[in-house]
Amino acid sequence: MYNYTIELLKKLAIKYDVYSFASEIRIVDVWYNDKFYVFQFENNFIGFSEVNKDNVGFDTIPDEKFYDAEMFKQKLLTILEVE
Amino acid sequence: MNGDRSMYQMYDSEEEAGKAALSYIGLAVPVALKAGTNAVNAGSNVSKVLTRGERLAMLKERLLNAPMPKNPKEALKLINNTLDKIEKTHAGPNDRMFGILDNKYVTINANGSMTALTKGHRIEIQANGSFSIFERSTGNLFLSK
Repeated sequence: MYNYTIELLKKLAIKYDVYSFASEIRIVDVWYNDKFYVFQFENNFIGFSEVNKDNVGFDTIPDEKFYDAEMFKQKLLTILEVE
Repeated sequence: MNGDRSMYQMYDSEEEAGKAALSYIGLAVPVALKAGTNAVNAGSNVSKVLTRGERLAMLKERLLNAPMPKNPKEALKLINNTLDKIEKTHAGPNDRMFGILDNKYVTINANGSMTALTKGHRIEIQANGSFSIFERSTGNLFLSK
């Protein structure tokens, strides 16, 4: 799912940034439509958060956890407004 | 029954029953249970629930006024402990922030410096314990100590 996400972001020319950790976890920051999203690719789930002034996020607990890649894909397509 | 007072009492609502139960086990009824209030604890030490932004501003102020940490481990402990004290007192239900819970999102660099990520911030800690916190969405400096 990580590779799919990166390919989609590239294809749509959406600004993103990737952080990789020794734990093999990756964080993908996405800037889209004046919003800032954080995807956490953990070993057993994908975390999704929207960080803004009301949700400043001084922790690593995602707003939503997706254990099903297809569910995350639907979320991704929705926020990126892909038909 | 048999002249004894009943063990049971009927209450008009679950809220009333809850308050009575808290009183029975010796706990003060939280002010938050009373209509129209906005507080975490009852009694003389009433703690106001603050927004995440207000709590983060408080974190900034307290970190800037805290003694200087001597290394990255101390700096991370200072950040976590300071946040924890604020959150225990001022976070509303299900709104608590937890700081850096483990090393999953921490990178230790060869020069002894450390980078830790939260969803919203990047914490850069130098080997001597000085640190800067940046907002990840904008790259803006949140604080430098």
